Amino acid sequence: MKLDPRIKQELRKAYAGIREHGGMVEIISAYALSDQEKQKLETQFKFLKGAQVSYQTDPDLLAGVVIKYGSKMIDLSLRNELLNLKHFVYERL
Amino acid sequence: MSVFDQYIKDLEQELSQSKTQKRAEEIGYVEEVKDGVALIHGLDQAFFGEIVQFESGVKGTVIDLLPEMVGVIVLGDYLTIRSGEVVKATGNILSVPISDEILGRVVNPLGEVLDGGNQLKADVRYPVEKIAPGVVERKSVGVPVQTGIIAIDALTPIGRGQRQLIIGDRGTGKTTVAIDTILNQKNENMICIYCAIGQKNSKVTATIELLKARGAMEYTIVVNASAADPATLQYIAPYSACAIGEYFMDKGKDVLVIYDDLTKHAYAYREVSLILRRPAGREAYPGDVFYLHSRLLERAARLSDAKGGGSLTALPFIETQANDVSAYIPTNVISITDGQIFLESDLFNAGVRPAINVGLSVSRVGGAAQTKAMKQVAGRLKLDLAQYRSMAAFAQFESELDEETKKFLARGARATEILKQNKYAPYSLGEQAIMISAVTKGFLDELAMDKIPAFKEKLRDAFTTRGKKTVDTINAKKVIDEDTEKEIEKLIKDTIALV
Repeated sequence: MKLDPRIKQELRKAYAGIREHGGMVEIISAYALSDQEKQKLETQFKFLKGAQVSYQTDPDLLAGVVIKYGSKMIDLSLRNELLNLKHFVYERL
Repeated sequence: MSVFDQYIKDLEQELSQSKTQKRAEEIGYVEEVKDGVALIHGLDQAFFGEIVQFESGVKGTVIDLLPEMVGVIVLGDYLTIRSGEVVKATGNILSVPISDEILGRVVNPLGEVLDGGNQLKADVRYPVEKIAPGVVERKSVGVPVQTGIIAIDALTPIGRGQRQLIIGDRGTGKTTVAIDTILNQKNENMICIYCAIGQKNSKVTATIELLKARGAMEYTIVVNASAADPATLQYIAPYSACAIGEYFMDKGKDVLVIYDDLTKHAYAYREVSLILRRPAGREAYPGDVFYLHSRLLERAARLSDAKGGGSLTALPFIETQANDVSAYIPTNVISITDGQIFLESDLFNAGVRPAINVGLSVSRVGGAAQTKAMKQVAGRLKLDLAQYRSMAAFAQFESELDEETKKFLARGARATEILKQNKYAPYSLGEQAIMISAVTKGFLDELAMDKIPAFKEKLRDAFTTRGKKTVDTINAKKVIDEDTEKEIEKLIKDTIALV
């Protein structure tokens, strides 16, 4: 089915919008975040503005946050740092 | 400072240097794990051949990109992977970390050391899968690879940049040919890579010990994916070995890569493909089993001077069943390589070792890869053997034959005797030329057959004493002039007198 090129363009823009602004963004933190902390995150990561963000807690992270959107993840948790350290030490062995 | 203190110091240094970069990582979740294959949901931006890392640190490579799933083959122990765990994409394509330090080491297909020595620091990462050099980048093969085995160097010579297949049943001496060739590269300016695919660890260890004892490990690298390693590692092993070879070839060096053996490689690929549910074809091999070997062997080349003039010579091995060279995989590889060397179990059992069937073995590069000295003597040898073969059926009627035929049979029998060689005892160019001249110039025609082994022994001894000068002259000049011919004649006649 051939689409009107204008419709195609609009669809593309809307789709890009969804991708850029993340659509669904999940932020997992070790403890519940205060509004100030949430504000800090938004200034650091521009794409959080205007996106649907869901906040969750997972004490396993020990500290820090994990931000997931689409198939990407930014892992800033302490657990991840320690895991990296473990791999680093064992590889070096 | 104790080893432990040094280790802590290195660790601190590296940790302080590495900056933790916070960038978004591509992730996915493991849905299914099967023998060596993980199916992953997510990893939207993953590309083909990308290395991914599981939570336990085990790596994998992307091999299937489906609309809803990514298929990853696990390059290591898949038993630690759990369903639902997070998989991260590293952004690197499947590659081997290499530096000059890798010479003399034993590594696995991922470049990790297996010989218990120091970790390797890598300069670069060479991709495991690579498109072979094109036509313009190449130069024709002209420089020989001296294997040290008379039958090969004289009759089916191998050139630098050629692919020569060694094919035969189990136990016919294929690996021995490889080891002899490696041992003979000592002063030949050649880097050797021995890729063991699906071999017994005990056999590979014995090979490494032998190479170490003979000082060959200085210029050799062993890439080992033994029978205990997952089929996925066995699958990428030859490509990794080739990538390591290309690193040196790009530096202008000559490299010899031995793939022992590609039959087990095909088995491993079949296993991986069947788990990935790819359609099975003839003998249950996937449809691209030809491409599996052709893309590997095409990477053997002699590069043009503009590209550095390096070369990569490939010696793939194929194990046949009951000498059947018309089976699927053997015919595939025969059509890819520039010639083959048949090792027959009948000849092996009859005492002709190396068990090379001279009639069926061929080198499509041939004389272009021989030194002048060898060309001068080998032509006659080929002829003698061809005539012998054509009359071999009449050998049993010796008493009823005419003089001419008897002469051919006698000459041929002596030629066959000269081609026999002990294992791990390669001959240099000069030694080979003298050995062949002894038979082709007719000096041995009068000597009784049962005295020939003793003659060979004495001649071998003479190479280090009376004949040393002659051997060195031929090795240096690579041509036999009139004076050298006279020296050779004298040497041979003296040796015959001793027997």
